[in-house]
Amino acid sequence: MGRTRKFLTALTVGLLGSALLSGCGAEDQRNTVTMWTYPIITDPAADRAFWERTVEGFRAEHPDINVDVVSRPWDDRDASLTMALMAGKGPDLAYLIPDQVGRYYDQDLLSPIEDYLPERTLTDYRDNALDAVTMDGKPYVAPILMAALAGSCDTRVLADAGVEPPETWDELLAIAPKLKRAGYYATYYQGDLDTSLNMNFYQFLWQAGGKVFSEDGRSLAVDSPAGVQALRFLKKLVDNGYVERSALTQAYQPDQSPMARGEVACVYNQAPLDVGNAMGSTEHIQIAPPLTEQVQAAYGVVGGYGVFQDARDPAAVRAWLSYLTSTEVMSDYNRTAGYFSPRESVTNLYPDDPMMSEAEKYLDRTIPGEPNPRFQEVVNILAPLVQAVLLGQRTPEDALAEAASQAEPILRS
Amino acid sequence: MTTETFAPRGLGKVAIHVVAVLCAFVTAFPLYAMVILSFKQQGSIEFPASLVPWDFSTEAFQAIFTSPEIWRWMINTAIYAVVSVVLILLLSAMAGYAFAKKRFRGREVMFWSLVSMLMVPYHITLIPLFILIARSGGIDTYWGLILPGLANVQAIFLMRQFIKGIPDELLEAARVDGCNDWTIFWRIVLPLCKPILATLGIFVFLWHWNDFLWPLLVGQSPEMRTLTTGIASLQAEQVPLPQVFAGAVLAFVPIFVAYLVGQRYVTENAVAAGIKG
Repeated sequence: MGRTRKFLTALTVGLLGSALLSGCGAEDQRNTVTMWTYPIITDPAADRAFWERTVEGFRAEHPDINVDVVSRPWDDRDASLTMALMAGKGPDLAYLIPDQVGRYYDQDLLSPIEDYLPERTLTDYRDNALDAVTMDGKPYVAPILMAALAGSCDTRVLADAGVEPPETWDELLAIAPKLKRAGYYATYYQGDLDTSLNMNFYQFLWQAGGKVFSEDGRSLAVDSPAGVQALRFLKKLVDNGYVERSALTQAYQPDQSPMARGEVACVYNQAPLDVGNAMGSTEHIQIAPPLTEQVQAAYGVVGGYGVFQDARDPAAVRAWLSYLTSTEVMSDYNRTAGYFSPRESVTNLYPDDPMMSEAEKYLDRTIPGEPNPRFQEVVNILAPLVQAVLLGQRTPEDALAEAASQAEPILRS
Repeated sequence: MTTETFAPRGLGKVAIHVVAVLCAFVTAFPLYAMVILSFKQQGSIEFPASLVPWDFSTEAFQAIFTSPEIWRWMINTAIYAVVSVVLILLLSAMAGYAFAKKRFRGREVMFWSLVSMLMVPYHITLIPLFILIARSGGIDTYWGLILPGLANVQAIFLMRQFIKGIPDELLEAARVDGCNDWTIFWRIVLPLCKPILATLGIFVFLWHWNDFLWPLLVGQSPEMRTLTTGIASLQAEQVPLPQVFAGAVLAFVPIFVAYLVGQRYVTENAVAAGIKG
């Protein structure tokens, strides 16, 4: 009895003590910038080293400003960010991609980036990078990285089958039977519902000359001849066994993918370094141009930092963001992370790497998504319908018409 | 009156053994695969070649233990899980005792109102709960992490059902011997609840050890992360399969140890439930 009471007392005192001690840590938020980022640099040691040297470099110029870079997990990132912002405990700025911009803009959480960046930086951005983060004529994210999902072809597969990398849909369909006979898939289509449509259906839609949203963003434009054409092309790839069928439903696991087994000729829905990661090395990757039907287009993410309206010290955030998007830091960041710079003046980041140098040429051909506040809701409607078409459960016309009708009230709300 | 006993003989006995062995294999195989594959190098996994117990590599575990803060995260997880288990068991046993054995106005209404909370999805209460904790200064604190989970309705329900089964005569006898409520609870009720406390303790420990979303929301600074959120903060969007299994092994080991410790009581509980049933 006595021992139990002592234990309970100790436990209560311990908990209260920890609560009180944690309360003592309340800091003055002036001159402090808190930024949330994610494991974009995939090597944790390199990630830590990059942020340490970057903050150190910034502090050398601005000794009066503290910067707290918090690396957060990818999982549940929108839930944790939104809730932290709603509770007034969010960061001053955070890493965002175009798919997220519309949602935070719609909730009135983001500040226009023009207020935080010098004019010389804003005018130096590639048009497609800035367009992807622009809502109602104003950019809301300061882009720091870009990717180009040009074709990544396995030279061993091409040589074994005796084919050249395709440049158009017709050329892909022409070499596919030969590849199949040699035991290879012509390309790779990841169609599970967790994969962003940017990385599968949308890029074929763009290549066919279509768009996801109408000009005013208030209706769906996929229900079009281009949409039908894209789905028919993809269906042909599936029905003829030119892509791995199980990837239509199974989650992507790079080390278990057919690329890891050396079974795919050319991949268009992964960045070259990611394909290399799946294959175990980039040694056998040859960069091919993005495919063309009506338009030569590829998906390429644009990532950057958005400033929230509740930023505690806007002047400090301005100084930090200007430093972060400077040509020197942007070069260092992209070289470390394996991406490209969205600034036109920062090019040729990989002079000794023919694969990356070749991929960089296609940055202007990339479409980093179509920003819309209802982007995710539309994906939730469209993705299962696209999957149903490819599994043979719906016709392209029927699926796209249903998507348009389901999305209409959401987009008009 | 004759008593019939079921005692399989001959072929029946063999069949039962075969089925038992098959069930054991089906149960144990995923655990075996998880451990073996966590010690494989990154690369394509082939069946059955990848499941042979050689060519071991600690690459996946090294990738997980790369952060210097990993031990801090482990301590945070242990504090979160152990303190939660102790407090939830204590509070739910107290509440269960009150709902099962004490008579007071509104007891049933209060109990069933509490139970009806089980039907409210967690995500609906998550936002207001987080805002409440955040505005009370609970971000990046142990109490912010632990406090919201203490009123565990499932645990209260289970404790109440178990304590209801304790004969009232036993408690009356204790009262006649001069015990007050506190003594009856500590000396009579709680020791009798050991089997259900052990079972519940394992489950509560499991929920907290593997919890992700709440620690993610409350533990914003690297120093306040738990193992699940800390490891996730190091991982790229696409994680190789051996690393996924290595993470699963890390999550599994403490639960396994907790089960081994409480195994006797869990078995007793299962047997008791079987007898009552």
